[in-house]
Amino acid sequence: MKIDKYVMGGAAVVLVAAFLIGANWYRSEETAQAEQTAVQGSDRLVRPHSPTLGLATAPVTLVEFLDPECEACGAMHPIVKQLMREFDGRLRLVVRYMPFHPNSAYAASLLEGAREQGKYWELMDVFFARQHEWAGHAAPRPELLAGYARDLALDMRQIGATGTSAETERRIKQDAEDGAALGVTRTPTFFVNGKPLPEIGYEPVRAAIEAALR
Amino acid sequence: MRPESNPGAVANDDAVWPPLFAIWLISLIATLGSLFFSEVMRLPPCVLCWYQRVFMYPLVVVSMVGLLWRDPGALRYAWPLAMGGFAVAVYHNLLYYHLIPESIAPCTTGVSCTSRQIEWLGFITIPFLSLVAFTLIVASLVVCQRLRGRDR
Repeated sequence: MKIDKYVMGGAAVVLVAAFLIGANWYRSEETAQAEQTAVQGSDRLVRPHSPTLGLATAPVTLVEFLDPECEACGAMHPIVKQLMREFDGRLRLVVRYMPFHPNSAYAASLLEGAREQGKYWELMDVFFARQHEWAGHAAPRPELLAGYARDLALDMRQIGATGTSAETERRIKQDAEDGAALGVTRTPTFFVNGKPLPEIGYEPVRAAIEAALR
Repeated sequence: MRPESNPGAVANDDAVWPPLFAIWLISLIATLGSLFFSEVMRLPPCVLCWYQRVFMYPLVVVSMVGLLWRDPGALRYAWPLAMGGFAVAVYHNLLYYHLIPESIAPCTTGVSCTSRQIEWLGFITIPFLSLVAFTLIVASLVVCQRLRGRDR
């Protein structure tokens, strides 16, 4: 009987539609809640110790909570750099650490060491570009990280001293605490002028920057 | 007995349609609901939840094919799926409500099978919903079987 198929088709359409409408509603609630959390913790968004790139007077500040060991952060890294070029002078990048993996904090401490020698962004480029070598979840090889720094002709003794200093440890801990307070549960998480982005990728981040510029 | 050798079976198969439709509807709601919990609300499913999913999801397909082709043979495939899921759901609820001690829970890493992620109206939890779904499916299967008589 044909009527059976109509009944089944109708039920399937209704249920799938309910699922999609519910999902849409839930996501928008979630976004609203994330924005609320970000507003409440807005003083935690940027710290004096945070590494920044771009003009301090730029109208848009992009805060990225990242983890050097996270693949999505590695995938977003060239996109963020491209956006920095596209919005040159109008965009400032602030990096915060959100160490979710076993070697994230160690990698961040080396970056902090490189920062004192003015090679912060160079070392970050290498860490992300060679992530497949050192950050495999099955067999991580954190011992490679110091080698990358050596390849950039960095002073390894200074990196070691800075990397293990109480101040570096305090900064990384502060970043993770701020991230938790701001509702960061995934990396990378972006904030454009204090507003958390529900999605990552070139288009969502670019659109958010455009909107902030308007 | 096959339908061609038993003219009466056709009428019986029609009678089976409504309870089989109920099975399809319940399993589809359970499937979409569990996907909503994990994919939209991002609640990670525990190990026992996964086993229940393993039994629940195929029920959607098996009952749907049975309905579309008016094939009561679908009941044969639905029975073990429903009973397997029901057994895991009973076990999960016993653990969840501390009717058997948690120390024998098989979940050691990841999400604990007894952590309460949802509690609506004070008693509606995810394992409870699963148990209700499997109970209704087993009950519908019993109805199907009754309607078909002893002719399997």
